[in-house]
Amino acid sequence: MADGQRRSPPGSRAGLDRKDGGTMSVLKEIGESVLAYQPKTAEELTHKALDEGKSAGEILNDGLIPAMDTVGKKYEEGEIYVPEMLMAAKSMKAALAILRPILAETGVESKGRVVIGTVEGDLHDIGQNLVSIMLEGAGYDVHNLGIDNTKEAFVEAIKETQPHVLALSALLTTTMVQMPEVIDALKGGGVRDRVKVIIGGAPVTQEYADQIGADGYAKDAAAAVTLVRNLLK
Amino acid sequence: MNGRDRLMTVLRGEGLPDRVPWAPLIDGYYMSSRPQGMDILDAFREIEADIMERHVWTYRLNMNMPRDPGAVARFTQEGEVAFEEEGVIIGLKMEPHPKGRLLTRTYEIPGRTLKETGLFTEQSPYLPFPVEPLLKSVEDMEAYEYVVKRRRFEPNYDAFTREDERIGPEGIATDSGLTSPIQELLQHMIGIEAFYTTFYTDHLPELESLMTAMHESNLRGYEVMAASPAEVVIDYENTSTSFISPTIHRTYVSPCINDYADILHERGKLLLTHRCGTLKALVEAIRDERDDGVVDISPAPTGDLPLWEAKAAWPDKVVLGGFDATFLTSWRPEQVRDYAREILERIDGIDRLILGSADAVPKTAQVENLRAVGAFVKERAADG
Repeated sequence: MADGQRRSPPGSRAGLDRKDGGTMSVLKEIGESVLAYQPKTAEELTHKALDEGKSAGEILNDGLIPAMDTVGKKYEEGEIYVPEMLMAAKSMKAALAILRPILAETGVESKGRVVIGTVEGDLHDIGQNLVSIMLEGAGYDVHNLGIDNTKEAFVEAIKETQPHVLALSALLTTTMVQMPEVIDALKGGGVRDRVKVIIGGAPVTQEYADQIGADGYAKDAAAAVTLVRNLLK
Repeated sequence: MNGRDRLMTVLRGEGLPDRVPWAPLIDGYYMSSRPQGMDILDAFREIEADIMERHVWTYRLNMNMPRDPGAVARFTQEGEVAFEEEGVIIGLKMEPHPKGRLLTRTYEIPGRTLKETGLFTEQSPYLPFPVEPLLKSVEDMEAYEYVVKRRRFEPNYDAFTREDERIGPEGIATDSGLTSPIQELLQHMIGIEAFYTTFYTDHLPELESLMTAMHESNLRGYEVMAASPAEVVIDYENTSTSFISPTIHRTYVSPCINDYADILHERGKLLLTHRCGTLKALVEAIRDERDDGVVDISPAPTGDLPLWEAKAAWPDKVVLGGFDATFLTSWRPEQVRDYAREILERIDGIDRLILGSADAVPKTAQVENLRAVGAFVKERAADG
């Protein structure tokens, strides 16, 4: 069903008021469609922007990324929560799906490359998926390895993908102990100094990150974006 | 005061106990770290806890397992079984998997078969990781509504009474309630991402229709629990803003909790809710709900609410919890003991208060840490 034809779910912001009397630029409108959780509108406006001669890079950098920054800020400030973040991300992804081939074709570079995955034995993916979504929305090229990755798989992925950041996720006290194992494997594989390692997940803390020699810890998806930005400055 | 009287005095909010009870959530996770064959009651005794046994069901759900115990045994040892209830054919299959054992459940109804799979692993031997969700499309939701309308809850009171008698004066057995439909769908049947990005945003009327059917079925289940010998029912909501917002919680969870509480209260029973996640943003919504207590409350890093903040936020409810899985796993007994002291120093009075674990005690928890809390509350009471 098209946007606006159905009742808005509680928590959604469909039908967001326009504040500029209808003179908003198409890039701003794209951002607003992300913030109003309207994926179809985001798609339509992305096509419209391209038709108007905007480049894919402009749409990404001046439309989508600022909108997802706002989403992250609102999340950090407790104004929105995971459901709203996921709904905003759906709109962002709808627009990004149109832009991605154009960005690849025109050689527009991402802000950095991130490999992410849960450690061996951990099959929970919601946390790392949220981090992936927010990092993509912030302009990073994210390679999501999914769940239950061995330390060898992480080393292999780093050799293949050459990321700037490796993000490790664990939800359980029984699996977080795999994180230092991965860091040791990176050392053993001679790739530790090529990549910043960040960690997150329910039982993980900054103290634990320091203890195992990770480069950073993020308590949630929005904090992960800030952390990656700071690490890659 | 014995363990049963102590716990019930606190849970009913009727006067003061002789000391603060210590009742961590001991279940299969922790038991998998204990010697094989150890009685769960001995696991409580070993850590000097008041026995508050969980998951002692007073009812049987007709579509959960076959009635023939032999068939259940055959299936759980990597086999297959099918049985029919109210025109729905339920299939269960357990098979080996490189990472453990894969459980497949199917519901076959006229014109459609629903399927879900979950994986039991070494890290989670009793609760399967969801692999394939049950509901993947609007058509699946409609089919599951057909199944839900045929669910029946049958009293299984004797089994509860036997376990409660076995515990005797040392504590209580608690029943496990039914979870609000939205939490059931989010956590088990659809998955968080698909729930919000597909079902909630694009198919809300169908989703609400299913949630209504599930809630009506749950109400029938709570009627069976209300008539049972169990005095305390725990609804394992797993509440957390990690996957729900205050607006959505108030719209879809609070009314369910209130209905469940009302049914139990009418028969003099108590409803506690298991809320082990981040709760700060839900404090007001939870305060307005009619449950009698919140259990397994987590401070950071798993949650965000130290027990003293929970107690201040909900003065009319029982609060239970305080010790995060990471504390029980990686701290030293002296640290755990100091934290127990801090909790009690920050809380004025010991009414409606039970020290416990935040969420289930993990298999990595140290026995010495758990015992440190039990010993501390006893010594503190002895010291007056």
